[in-house]
Amino acid sequence: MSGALALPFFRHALAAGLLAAVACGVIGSYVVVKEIASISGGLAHAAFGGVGLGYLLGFDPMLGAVGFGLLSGAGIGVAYRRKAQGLETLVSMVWAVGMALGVIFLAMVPGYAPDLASYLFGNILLVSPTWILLAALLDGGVLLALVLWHRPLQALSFDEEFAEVVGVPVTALLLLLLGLTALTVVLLIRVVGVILVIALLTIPAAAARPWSATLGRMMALSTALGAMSIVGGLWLAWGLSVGPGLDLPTGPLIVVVAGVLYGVSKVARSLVRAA
Amino acid sequence: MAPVSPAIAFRGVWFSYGRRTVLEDVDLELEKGAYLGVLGPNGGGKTTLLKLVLGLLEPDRGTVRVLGLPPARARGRIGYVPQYARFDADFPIRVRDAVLAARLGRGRLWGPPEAADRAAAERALEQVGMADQARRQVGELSGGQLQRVLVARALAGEPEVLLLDEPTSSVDPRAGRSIYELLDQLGDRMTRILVSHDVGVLHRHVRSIACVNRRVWYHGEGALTPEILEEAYGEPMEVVTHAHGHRILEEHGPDA
Repeated sequence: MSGALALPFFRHALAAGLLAAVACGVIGSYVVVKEIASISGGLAHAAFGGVGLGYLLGFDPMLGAVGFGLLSGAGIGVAYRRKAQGLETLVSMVWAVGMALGVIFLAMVPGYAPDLASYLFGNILLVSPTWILLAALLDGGVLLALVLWHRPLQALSFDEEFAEVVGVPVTALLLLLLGLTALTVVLLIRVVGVILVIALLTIPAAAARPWSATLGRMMALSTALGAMSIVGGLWLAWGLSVGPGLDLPTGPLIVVVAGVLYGVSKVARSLVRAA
Repeated sequence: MAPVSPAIAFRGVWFSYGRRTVLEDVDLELEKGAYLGVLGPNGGGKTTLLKLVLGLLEPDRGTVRVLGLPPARARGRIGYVPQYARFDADFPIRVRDAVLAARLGRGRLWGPPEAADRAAAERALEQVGMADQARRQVGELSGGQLQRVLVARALAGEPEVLLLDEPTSSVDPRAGRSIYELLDQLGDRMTRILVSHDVGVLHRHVRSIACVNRRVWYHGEGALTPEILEEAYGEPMEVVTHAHGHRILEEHGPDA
C-alpha cells in the first residue's frame, strides 16, 4: 500500500474513508439500536432523486441530494411520530419513487450522460478536496450533537415512550437524528453509492454491538470497524489492480470487507462466550 | 382557598383504535395520594387507560386531566413502569444511565447529568435494592432485576403520579412482594395506579379498585367480591385461596 500512498488521489481517498467512518460509526449506532435501517436506506434512494434534479437543472447534484434527503427525513419523521399505519410502506414508497425520479431526471438531461454508476455504487477514488472539507464539517456536527444530546438520544432509542412521558422533546430529537442520518447518507453516497449506503451504516455497528456495554463504546468500535472496512476495501482494490490486474469497484469491495468483519465479530463473540 | 384539583380526572372519555372502541364513556376521579388497582381482561383497555393519563394517546371524546392539567403539560410529574415484554433486553446501556433518563425532563437536556440527578438515580436504585448493579448492562440482568430497574427509573423522576402496568409479571414472588411493599411505603406523597391480574396483590395492597372492560367500574374502598370480578371479566369468576396462602383468580370452566 506504500506505493499507493504516493498517489494524491489515493491519499485523498484514505482521508475521505477515515472521515466517513466517524459519521458512519456514530450515526450507524443510533440507526441500529433505534432500528431505523430501512428509513436510512429510503433516505439514500430519495437523495438519488435530488442528484438527478441537480443534473437536470444544472446545480450541484450533491446539493439536490441533501435537499431531497432532508425533506424525506422530515416527512418520514413526522409520519413516524404520528404512528402512521403503514410506515414501512411509506418508507418503501419514498425509496422507490426517489430512485425513479432520479432515473427520469437523468434521462431528461439533454445530450449528456452523467456517470450513473459512481452514484449507484460510489467511487471513493473520485472524492474532491471540497468533499473532504464537507465530510470533516459533518463529523464536527455529528460529534457536537453527540456531546450535547447523547443522553436524550440514547433515552429515545432505548424507550421512546418513556422519554416522551418524562418530557423529552422526542419529535425534535427524532428529526435531528433523521436529519443527521440524511446528511451522513448523502456523504456516504460518494464512498459506497446509493445502493450500498445502508451497509456501511448498519454492518460496522452491528459488528460492534456484541462487544459494547454502552452506546458510546459501540460508536467508537463501530467507527474503527468502519475505518477498517473502508481502508481494507481500498487496499484490496489497489492490490487486485496492480497484482492480477483486476479492476474492481471500491464500493462493493468495502461492503464485502465489512461483511467479513461482521462474521469475524460474531464468531469471535460466540467463541469468547463459550470459553 | 381554591379547591384542590383531583390528581387524575376522566370525564366522559371515549377512545377507539380505528373502528374498535376500547373505552366507552369513562368517568373516574382520583384524589391525591390515592392507590388504585386496575383489573380486567386482556384487551379490555387497561393499558389504554394508562396511556391516556400519560398523554401518549388522546381521547376521541371527553377530557383527561392530570394534576389539573392536560396530560401533555403534566409531563415530568408522572412516573411510568411499562410492561416488561416490550424491551430490547440487549440494548447497550448501563443500569444507571437507563435510570437517569427519568431526570431528562427536568432541568437541562444537554450535557452530562447534574449532581442532583445522580443522587436521585442512586436513591431510586437503593429503594429497589439494585444499587450494586448500577454499572451493569441491562442485557445482563434477569427479568426480575430489569423490572426492578424499571421501577427505579420511574421513581428517580420523583413523580407525583405513578403508573405501573403489570410491574411484577416476570418477577419471582419474593421480589414482587418487595416491590409492592415499596409502593405501600410511598404513602400519600404519590398517587398510584397499579394494573395487575393478581387479585391477591390488589387485595392486600391497593385502596380502591377499578374494573376495566370497555367501561370502567370504580369500586371505592371495600372488599374485592366475586360480583366485582364478574363485572370486570364479563363472566363468572371466583376468588379462591391458593394452598400457599395467596389468592389467585380462577375462571369457571365447563367442568368447574
